[in-house]
Amino acid sequence: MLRPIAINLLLFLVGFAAQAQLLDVDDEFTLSNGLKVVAMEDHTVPSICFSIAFRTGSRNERPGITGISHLFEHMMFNGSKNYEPTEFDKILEAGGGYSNAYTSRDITFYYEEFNPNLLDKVLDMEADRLGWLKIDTANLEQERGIVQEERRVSTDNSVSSKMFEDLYAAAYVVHPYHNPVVGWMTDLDNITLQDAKDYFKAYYTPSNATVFVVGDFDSKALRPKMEKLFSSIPSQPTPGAINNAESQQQGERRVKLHKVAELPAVAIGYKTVGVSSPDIYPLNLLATVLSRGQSSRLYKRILYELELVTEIGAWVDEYIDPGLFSFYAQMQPGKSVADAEEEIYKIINGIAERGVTKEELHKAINMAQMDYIKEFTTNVGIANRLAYYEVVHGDYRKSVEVLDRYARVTSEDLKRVAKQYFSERARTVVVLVPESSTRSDLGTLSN
Amino acid sequence: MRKILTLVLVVSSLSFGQKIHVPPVARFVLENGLTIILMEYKKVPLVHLRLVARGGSAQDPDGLEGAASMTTSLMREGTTNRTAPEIAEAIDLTGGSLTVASGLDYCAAKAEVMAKDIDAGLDLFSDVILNPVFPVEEIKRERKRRLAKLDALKEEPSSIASITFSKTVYGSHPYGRQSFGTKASLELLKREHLVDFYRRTFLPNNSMLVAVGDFNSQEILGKIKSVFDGWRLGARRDVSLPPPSLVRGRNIVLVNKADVTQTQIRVGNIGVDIRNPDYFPITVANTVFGGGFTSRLVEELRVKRSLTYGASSRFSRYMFGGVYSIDTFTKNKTITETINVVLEELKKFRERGPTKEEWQKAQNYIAGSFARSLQTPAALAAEISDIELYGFPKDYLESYIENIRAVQLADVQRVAHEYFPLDDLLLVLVTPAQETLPAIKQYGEVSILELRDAIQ
Repeated sequence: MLRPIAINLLLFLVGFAAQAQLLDVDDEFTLSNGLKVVAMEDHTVPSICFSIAFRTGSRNERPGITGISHLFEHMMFNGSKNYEPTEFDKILEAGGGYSNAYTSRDITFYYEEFNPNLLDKVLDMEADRLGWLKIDTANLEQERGIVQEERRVSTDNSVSSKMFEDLYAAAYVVHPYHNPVVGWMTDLDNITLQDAKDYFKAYYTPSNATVFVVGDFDSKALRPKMEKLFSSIPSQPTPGAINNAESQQQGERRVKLHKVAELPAVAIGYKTVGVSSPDIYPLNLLATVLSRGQSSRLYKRILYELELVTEIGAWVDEYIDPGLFSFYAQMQPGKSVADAEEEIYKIINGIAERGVTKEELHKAINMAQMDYIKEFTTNVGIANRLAYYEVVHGDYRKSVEVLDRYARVTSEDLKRVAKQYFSERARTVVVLVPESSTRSDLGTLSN
Repeated sequence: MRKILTLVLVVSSLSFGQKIHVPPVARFVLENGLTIILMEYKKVPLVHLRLVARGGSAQDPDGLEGAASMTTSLMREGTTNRTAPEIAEAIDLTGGSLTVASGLDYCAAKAEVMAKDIDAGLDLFSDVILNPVFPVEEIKRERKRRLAKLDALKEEPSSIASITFSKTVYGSHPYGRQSFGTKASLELLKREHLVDFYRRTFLPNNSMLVAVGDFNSQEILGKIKSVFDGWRLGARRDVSLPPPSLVRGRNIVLVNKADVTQTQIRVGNIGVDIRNPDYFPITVANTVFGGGFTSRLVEELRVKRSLTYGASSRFSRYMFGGVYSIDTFTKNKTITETINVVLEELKKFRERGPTKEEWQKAQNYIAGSFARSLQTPAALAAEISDIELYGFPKDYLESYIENIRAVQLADVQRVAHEYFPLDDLLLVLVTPAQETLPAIKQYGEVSILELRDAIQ
């Protein structure tokens, strides 16, 4: 790893010539059932990361079954034809490893890290659950309860998460980005066994997944093993494309959230673009210039100089379909949300008019580069990054090209995207109206 | 395939287990007493710098909680060479990071930059350590922000539970202080207190500087010497503390938060200090009981009963004492079911300890996790400074896995009985107190804390 990255950094400084060699993939092949496999050896630590990314997430859900992608992710650990429930994790932990997974709007990603001598066992367990998962009532009911607790801890009893749930729900009318990844509580109550079976059949077909194996193994020996264990997994038709029926937003949407809270806060979202648009790169650097580090525009002006807020941040979604460029600010006691909003708008209008400085752009590119190096420090970091680019950007190789893309961005680009996307008409705002605990007692229903 | 010429971190499989080989460290002591430890680690082109000074929040003067934490925060907010915005600008420009923060036992300054930016990184890192000026304007700003943050904390059930548990379990012991500061103490903390804390803590003969990353040791040593050689030594203070006392009997604290639909639960007591000789068997025991994803707590609370999304237990160890705690949460109507399961599992574990299978699984799990945890320069630097600070053996990292494997089943059974109390326990719940109270009385003495008293 050392050598290629060092070479790459040099290229970065002189202007990005050849990026491809950084990503030194040892083998890439597709099985007869459509399962794609990417293998990358790294012998730094005696550990392997096996991961599998599915091209599905809450974007693939319809009303009534929201949250099923995530619920299903939980069910994947609960037993398959040849393995009892919880055996998967017990075997992994007994072999010095662990597993985890996440679901987001566009992707569902599973991974485990383990000692090299466990590879054959892991391949067998992974093939077994991909081909022959036990989808039964016991599995579903167990995870339904757990996921509802997860929703309570991560959304219902978290003020800022609830604000962002409302932000997406208001910004998107028909697109599934309207729904939270964790799902609406009532849908979680009502998802049926048949829904789960249908979901598995539709989205967990081999041709809808890519496997990334990174770490201390012999890639030449991997291919025959994968062929032997995974080729017999039956394939289903690859799922059809999701139609983006969201029409253009034609006016600001303003939502109030009344909730027990101590400090007022505001969340703002602008619709931007999906990752297939090259504008995603300047938008990303713009988010960095605005909010990353204490020298960023929002922090310096609104938190530090004006002392209006206790926290402020900006992010851009990198989604398949157009996501949000969003802002969050929590107010200092006695300060009004309107003041913070006004200052945020002044700053983004300023960039739309005058762009950013050379130093700001340089700083943002350095930060992106640093993130990249840090992700490439661990096997799981590499697998995660490759999987994300494979599913969301359509090709894992783009995970490398992205640095080149950033290097080509100009201040003029940032000015242009700020002007284009920070339009009041494409804006959604959620204002938190804090209530005192006693008041809300009257209106609270316990779940 | 990403090739490397030298294996920097290796775990070799021996017949009876694994051994970790980390790159060698070089240790130096400057004339002013500053200990310097260097490790060349060239996996990625980064350098991590870490300076640790003995004495942290546990040294906050009475009534001035937050002194250590405010001092360290302010060190980044102005030096004799740079204003706060200039420091922010300079570190952000490298894409790297620079922080100074306090723990209970020590304060730590950390910087991480790309190897090519080491000069800029070291310049900033040394500047905030050697030349902070604690501008009054910046102190006011930080105070104001912290006062607001104390309000904001009341929106976070998990933080409320953890803070209340820590304060209550330690009682009047200095480890129980609200190290972030309280509304009252933040008003009282003045510049002179921060300057005083800084002067008594950030002394070369009270500190160690660890660098891990892609550098040449001789070269970086020269650079470090040139900036830290002139640091003047001073009188080290005695940072020793008496051990905290165990909570006796069953004590229950309900923090009243009427709007929550889910109750955060903490259960535990005083645990062990950092030098406790039973550390390795305790680590194995805790992994069986509440570590990892196949622990008894996860199995019984989550897998079998769907009562929670998360359940875990841990021993947090400090120089002069520590805490044992179980963390979980459940919807309000299943609080007693959850507590019953926790108590029943504690009882079973104390009486019988783990099975042979669980004991072996835990050893393997810990060995694998430990080896993987050492992949980043930051993690290695933290381990190295802990070894120095707490006086662990020099081969602590290399022998860690062997030590875990040397733990016998009987050892784990013994510590399960000794360190997992059942009758002496503190329970903290963040919950609609009036609704929860009737069902909770069965467990012991209950007191109700209003939120404003829990987070002061």
